[in-house]
Amino acid sequence: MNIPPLVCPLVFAALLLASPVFAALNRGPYLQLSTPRSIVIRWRTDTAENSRVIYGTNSSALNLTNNDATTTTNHIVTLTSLSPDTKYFYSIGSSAATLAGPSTNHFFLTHPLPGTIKPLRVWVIGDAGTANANQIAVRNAFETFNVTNTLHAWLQLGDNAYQNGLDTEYQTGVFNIYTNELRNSVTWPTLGNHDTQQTNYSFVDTYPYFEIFTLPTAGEAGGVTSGTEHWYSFDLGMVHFICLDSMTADRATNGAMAIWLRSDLAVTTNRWLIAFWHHPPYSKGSHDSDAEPQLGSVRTNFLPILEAGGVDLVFCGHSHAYERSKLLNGHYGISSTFNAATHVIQTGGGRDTNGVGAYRKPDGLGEKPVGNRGTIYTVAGSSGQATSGTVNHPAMFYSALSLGSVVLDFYSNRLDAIFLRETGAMNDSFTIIKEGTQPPVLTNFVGLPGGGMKFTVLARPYRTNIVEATTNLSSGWSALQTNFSTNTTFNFTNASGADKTFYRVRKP
Amino acid sequence: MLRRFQSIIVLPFTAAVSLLAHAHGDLDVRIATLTAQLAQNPTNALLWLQSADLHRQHGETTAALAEINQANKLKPHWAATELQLARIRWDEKNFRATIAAATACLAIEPSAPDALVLRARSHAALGQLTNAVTDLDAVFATAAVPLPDLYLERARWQATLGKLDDALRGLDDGMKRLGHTPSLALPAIDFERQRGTFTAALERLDKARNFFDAKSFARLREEILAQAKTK
Repeated sequence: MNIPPLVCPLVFAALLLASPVFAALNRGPYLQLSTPRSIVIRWRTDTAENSRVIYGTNSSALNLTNNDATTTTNHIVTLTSLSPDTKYFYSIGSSAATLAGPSTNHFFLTHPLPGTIKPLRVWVIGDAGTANANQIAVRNAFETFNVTNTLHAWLQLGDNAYQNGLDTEYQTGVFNIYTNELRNSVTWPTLGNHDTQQTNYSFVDTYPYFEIFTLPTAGEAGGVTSGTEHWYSFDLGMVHFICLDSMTADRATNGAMAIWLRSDLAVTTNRWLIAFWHHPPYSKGSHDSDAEPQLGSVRTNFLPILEAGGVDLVFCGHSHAYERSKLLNGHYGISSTFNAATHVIQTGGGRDTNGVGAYRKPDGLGEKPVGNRGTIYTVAGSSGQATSGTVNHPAMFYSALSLGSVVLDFYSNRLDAIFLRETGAMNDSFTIIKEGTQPPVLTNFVGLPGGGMKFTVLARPYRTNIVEATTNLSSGWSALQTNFSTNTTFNFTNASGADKTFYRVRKP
Repeated sequence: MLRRFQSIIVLPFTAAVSLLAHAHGDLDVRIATLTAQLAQNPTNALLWLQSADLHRQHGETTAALAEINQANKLKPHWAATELQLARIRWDEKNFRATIAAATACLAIEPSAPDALVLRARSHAALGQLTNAVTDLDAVFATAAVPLPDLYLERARWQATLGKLDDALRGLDDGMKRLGHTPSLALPAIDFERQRGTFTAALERLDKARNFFDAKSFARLREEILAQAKTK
């Protein structure tokens, strides 16, 4: 058939006009606000369209769908009714087309239920968003180290995107860099000075940070309702994380954030407590905690609350260095007031060699954590640059002007932390072991003349114990001794007229 | 999840200033960098304002004020300059001057929340709590989702004025908008106790049970009951 020369281009143009034009993916997918039963999946497209996530536990047969008919370029889909601690595969797109996935590289893992004991890996980066070779080297070192192990969560310690935390800077400094991590694990950020356009201390929610991230405000992921995304907490299995805003929020001891923090710490019963924010309480890096009011006010006002609440680890950025403290308690002044004899709970670097050297702390799983038994403060602000400073704060055990990040591995009552250099070298490490999980025990019974009893209580370390007695097993227990926390031998005489007395020891 | 805290002045100001802020590191380095930029571009009012803010953060008030003056000469009647001046005066604890500068800012940009908050806090510092409350009321009127700190601050001022009903109403309004957070729920219990409405205090305490460990909850409950008996 002969076709006139003009017809071909016309047909082609007509086909072009008739063809559907699909949106292109220009951000994500990235995961947010994971809980044991839900997760938020976000992405951005160049043109507005509706949203669809298809997901399931079998990567080759996804069987669940979540549609949102709203047309938007900024897609936010919440998946609910998920199973805890379960790996799901997913794809994203619209009713018209799939934009990413499904594949074995598109998955997420729901959080284990709070208190669940299982190994967890958490990655910590600070001041990372330089979008340069330094940042990429730190990321590559982590990916090489991690290989295909599950990354359960990662923390961003502020200054996530230089210079001003603009949306475009987040694209180059976060989304273009951490594509793999964002797709498969949830990032939990905090506000830095560069996320608030540097000089803006306004306590507002208009920064791009708040548009980009979906963070808990109502205790959705564990912890207590904060009412704001500026500070929040979440549970990841046996770990409770607390994010504070050291940049714009009121840092007074009776301010809204402090009131919330006390409550959040009072009710958590998790084994490990990790807090993070931007401005470090102790630093001699590119910022001096002796000279800058923001650093000092956090130290003075918030460290007593955190230590009393039993927080194990604190992570901050701001100073472009790695600085890791000794196991501290009770130091709230400037560096010249630091006294190792009174402020260091346990000497040494916490480096475990053949079972010796790790920091040891009382366990808090299932109970209120034991306070004031030591906290390690880490400045991890060198994930994008390592700049200046004397790095000689006396509270620190190890300090270096080196690029790197921190990797945390939780194994039940053991936590291993390493400072992973951009070279792949591990220049610092420490271990914390939680102990004291065993119940108190009555032992070494010896009958005494006259019907009394002598016995020893192997007490629960760090915690109070109560010895009680009764002549009737089913009721009438009365306290013979309360509030002791070390192994103790008791001599008791049977109650007058009783032919037998029962004893027991319990926690309060 | 856009939460718009309507700001006419702050965003243009900060966006403009931040474009010129490159150095991080310690403040000395940042000031030195900015000083070099100013040497090359001395007629840029934004640079002078940025430099003033760095000096303010460094506690160098005289230098900060000198640079505010430079910015003012280059760009008179600029709300951002007045706001920056208010911040400097606030840091000095010169509350009357803070009020003057914030008022000048608000004359140009009437709903600037930062200026309203600074002026409110300055009024409060001077004991002018009614004015302080009025300014925060204005902030709430312009904020889509106000933040917990401001609700708490206003309630405390109202309580000091003896307006416990207003304080409690404000906290309840905050909890309606932000959720039942201890940041507002626990101060509300205190205000009920101050007001002598112990039954209401106990009701609020029961509702806030999950903000306490068991012992603290029981202790506070006993305290309220004991207090009620003495009244």
